[in-house]
Amino acid sequence: VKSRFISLFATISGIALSSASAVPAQAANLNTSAIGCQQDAFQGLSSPLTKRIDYSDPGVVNLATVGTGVLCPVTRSPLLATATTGSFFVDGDNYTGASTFCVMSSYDFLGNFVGSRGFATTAPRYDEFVSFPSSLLGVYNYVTLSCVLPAFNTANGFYGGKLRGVTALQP
Amino acid sequence: MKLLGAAVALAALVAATVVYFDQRRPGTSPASPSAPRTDSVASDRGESSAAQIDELRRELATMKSQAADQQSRLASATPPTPAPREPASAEEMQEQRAADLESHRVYMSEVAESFAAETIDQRWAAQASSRVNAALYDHDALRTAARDIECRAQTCRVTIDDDGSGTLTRRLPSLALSLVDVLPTISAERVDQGNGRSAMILYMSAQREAPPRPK
Repeated sequence: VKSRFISLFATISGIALSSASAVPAQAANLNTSAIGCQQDAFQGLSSPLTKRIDYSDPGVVNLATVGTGVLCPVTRSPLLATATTGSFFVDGDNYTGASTFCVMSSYDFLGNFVGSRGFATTAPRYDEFVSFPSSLLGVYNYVTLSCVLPAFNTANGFYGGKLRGVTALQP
Repeated sequence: MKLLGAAVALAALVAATVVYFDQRRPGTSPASPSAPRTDSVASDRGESSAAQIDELRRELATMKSQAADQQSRLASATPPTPAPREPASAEEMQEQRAADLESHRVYMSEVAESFAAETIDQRWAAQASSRVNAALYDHDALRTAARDIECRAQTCRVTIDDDGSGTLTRRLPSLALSLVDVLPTISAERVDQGNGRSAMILYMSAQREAPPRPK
């Protein structure tokens, strides 16, 4: 009798657990702060400053009086098998009419550059949409964000802008 | 006197013990003092267990029905969520990588076809070519390696020889940044030149994808 009880309880518990886990998990977007960005080794414009960037939580700013390039990691997950595109939002600020230029680049697992998508913006608070076809975002691809941050404004003693981070949309 | 007191106390203890175990016996309760006590204890326990098993069976059937109903509602309310393209083993990983490369190859052949079918807008092509040349000139490592620049109505194609040092890959994001205001979209393909060297063909487009909906 005891074994029959145990068997019945095990069956009931199993059904209860399986019905509870039947709801499919929803994928979450992945936010990456720009405090992970680093100063690009290659700069289009020279500056007397060696360390040209600083981190203003939660973002990165330019200390130089010329535009400074930064390279940022982008966290993402493999796209769903049915996805035709992979998309991102890049967030930041431009102060007093400054401009920010950004490019997101995708590299395959061999390190080959396979494509990039970019934007230029003067919006005081930008939230730029960037989208790749899924063929350029393979499961093992790496995505980076390169931006040229606006110059430090010597007139008002303030940063020209701030890059806050990037959100990978995970459908 | 002491002996009498001890006897009374012992009798009371025995009586209390008997009453206690009598009340704990299955099938009897203080609320039914007149319940028949002719059935055996084993029989009482058997009937009780059978009743509990029947009740559990009914609960099991109800839960099975509810679970089936829930699965049915989920299936009809939401489409099945496809699994991410994430392989589980080394073999599957190799297959996935091969599939990724093939997907990229197919996509680039479509981009090339689209470029070939593009009409030529002389004005746009001249302006875009000028910007591309200027951007390449600003990058020492790319200046002499770039060739065959061709712009049409909204896309430019450039071939850049790769010396295998890694410089080309490192400089491409910088090149893309310098052209982002006119050619924000780049798709690239590495091609074998047949002499042990490779080149990168870039298709740079003025088109940008629009956001599907507000964030």
